[in-house]
Amino acid sequence: MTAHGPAGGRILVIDDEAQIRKALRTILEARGYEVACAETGAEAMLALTQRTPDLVVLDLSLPDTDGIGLCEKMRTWLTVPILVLSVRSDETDKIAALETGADDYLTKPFSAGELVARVGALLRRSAGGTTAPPVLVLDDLTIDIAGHRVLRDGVEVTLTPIEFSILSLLAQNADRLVTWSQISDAVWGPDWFADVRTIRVHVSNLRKKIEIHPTVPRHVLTEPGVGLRLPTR
Amino acid sequence: MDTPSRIQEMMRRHGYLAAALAIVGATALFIPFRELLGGERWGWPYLLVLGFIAGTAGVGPGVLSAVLAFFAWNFFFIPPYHTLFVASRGDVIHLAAFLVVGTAIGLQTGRLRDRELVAQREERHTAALNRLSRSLVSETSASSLVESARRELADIVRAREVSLWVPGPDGTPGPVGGGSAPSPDIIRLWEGVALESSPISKLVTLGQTGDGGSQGERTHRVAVPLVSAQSAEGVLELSVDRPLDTTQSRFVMSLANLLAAFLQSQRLNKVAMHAAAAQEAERLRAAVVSSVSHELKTPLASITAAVTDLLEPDIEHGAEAVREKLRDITEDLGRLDDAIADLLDVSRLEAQAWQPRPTDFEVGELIGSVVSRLPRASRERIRYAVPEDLPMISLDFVQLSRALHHVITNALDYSEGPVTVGADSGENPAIWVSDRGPGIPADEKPLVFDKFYRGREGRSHRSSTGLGLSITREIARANGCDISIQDERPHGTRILLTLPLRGTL
Repeated sequence: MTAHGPAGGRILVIDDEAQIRKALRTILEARGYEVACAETGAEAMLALTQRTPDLVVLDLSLPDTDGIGLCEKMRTWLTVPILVLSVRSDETDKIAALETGADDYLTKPFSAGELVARVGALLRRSAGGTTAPPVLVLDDLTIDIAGHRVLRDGVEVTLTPIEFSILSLLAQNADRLVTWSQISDAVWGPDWFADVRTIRVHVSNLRKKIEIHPTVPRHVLTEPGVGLRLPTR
Repeated sequence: MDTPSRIQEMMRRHGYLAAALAIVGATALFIPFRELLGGERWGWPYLLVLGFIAGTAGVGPGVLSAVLAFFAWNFFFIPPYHTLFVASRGDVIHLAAFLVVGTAIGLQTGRLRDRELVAQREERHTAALNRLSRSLVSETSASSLVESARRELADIVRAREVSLWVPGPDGTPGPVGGGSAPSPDIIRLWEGVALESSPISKLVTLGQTGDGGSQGERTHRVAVPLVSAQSAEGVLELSVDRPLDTTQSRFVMSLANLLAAFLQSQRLNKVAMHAAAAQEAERLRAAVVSSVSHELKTPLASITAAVTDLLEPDIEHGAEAVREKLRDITEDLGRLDDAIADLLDVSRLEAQAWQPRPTDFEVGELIGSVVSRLPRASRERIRYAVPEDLPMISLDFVQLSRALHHVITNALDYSEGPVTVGADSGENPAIWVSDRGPGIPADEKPLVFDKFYRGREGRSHRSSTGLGLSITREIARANGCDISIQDERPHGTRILLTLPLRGTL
């Protein structure tokens, strides 16, 4: 892991557990991010009015506020990415948070690497995606976003424009959760709403072309109930 | 009821009136034929009628009809007619003999008939008790037994209402089979017998209810404490139109004894069942404690050892050695997380706090998602056999991921070499995981889904909570799936998760 240096940004960590705050601060500061912490929902709102961060890390289980409610409240005026932390038993809370405007989630316990990858991906995206690698290599699959080409085992794969748009969206957001509505907006445009079934048909065709086992996806993974993810690890 | 038995019933109920009417009727019938027989011979037909009355209505009406017949014969058939004066001396002897013989017949036949009636009643009581003791064996709930008892009591003693009061957990009597609370006198009666060291079962008359004015409205309330082998089991209460006679009381007592025996055996059964359940719970708790303490404490102990070693000020660790130790710690932390996740899942499933939330997905997406989270070395051992024409399914993705994760890691742990994850389409859509390990012995197959069971073959391979497959089975159950084990040829195991048809789209 190399430090990101000045590319970092300001991150607000909202968590009631002192150990988690300390761990997140250590990990993120070591990578050049500036970290502010809040223990409660009220403190978080105060911190947000004083100075807007570039990213918010929000623990869903806070003592004074319901995490989903807080997420929804922040979303009414805050445009920066929100990364939600949840424990394994709040799957429904996690999905609810993603539906009310959180951008991604991490299940506790998580490794430093996972955290940094998610934070990095979210900040890249909010910065306009300019820092996304032009070529992404995943084992047998090469996605050349700039060159508009996809290679499987060195052989070029022919994709339809929609299939390529979906894949390049996932590649630009590698490791990040991409929700069905984000796919609909990015591929079909904000005026058109493509339903999940329609997107699924295209994803299914895309998988047939790029996956070794078209029936068992390894690259284009489904996030239950919310969307897709292209893992790089 | 057919006509003869209806006549018999009427004779039994209104014996004296019926006797009088029968003699009047017979007389009216005989008068037109008065001249056919000699006056002194009309005694014989009267004897016939009198025999019938005594045979059906009993002793009293029999004697009454003998006296009435004596006068009717004298008045209408012995000259001079329509007076009680008797002209012939021979007729006086006839009349005197008739009175004696008639009364004797009335008494004797009536007595026979009464005895027969008693025998019939006893037979009915015995039959009723027999039926009840048969249902004692077949019935399992007290409320259905009360229903049977109610039927018999309504039939035999014409009970209007029958209630059975048995003590609840707090010791106060409550109704069996629903109903209102017992009246204060029942509670007093119960408290009386419950306190006694060796209570006695006897009929208690509680008094009358209803307005005393009309005969039909008044009912008599009777109660019997149900006592078995020196302990009080409850109280039987019934209301009847008429006070019980000796035979009826005897019947009620016998029935009460049967009920008491049933209640006692039920109570003892319950005690035994609680003891067995408590024992099983204790066994499981002990298993949880031993498994949890092992699975949580082992990684914790090794982490503690490694970290304190790293913190030791006297020793200078090389950078590579530190890295190596940290890798071990990470592995132990993973084990700790797995164990906690298993325990969490088990408690959520047990408390039914983890309800399935179905979403639509393809079987391959589920398999891909589960396999992508395995360590790289494990991923490389996985082969796929997933056909393309699988239907979309609608089940809880997260729960099924956990279930499939356990089945796959189990196959990886208990075998070496490739593990195949496949699916079947068609009539019985299913997901399966097959390994080429030693297989599961037939006697172990029913046990592998039990909590904390760990196969003999794999025990040495890897530590685990022994909860994985029991979690899988619970999740399968909650999602309407079926889980089964098959043998692979030449050796190996296939665990098959059959999906519900309603879950497929």
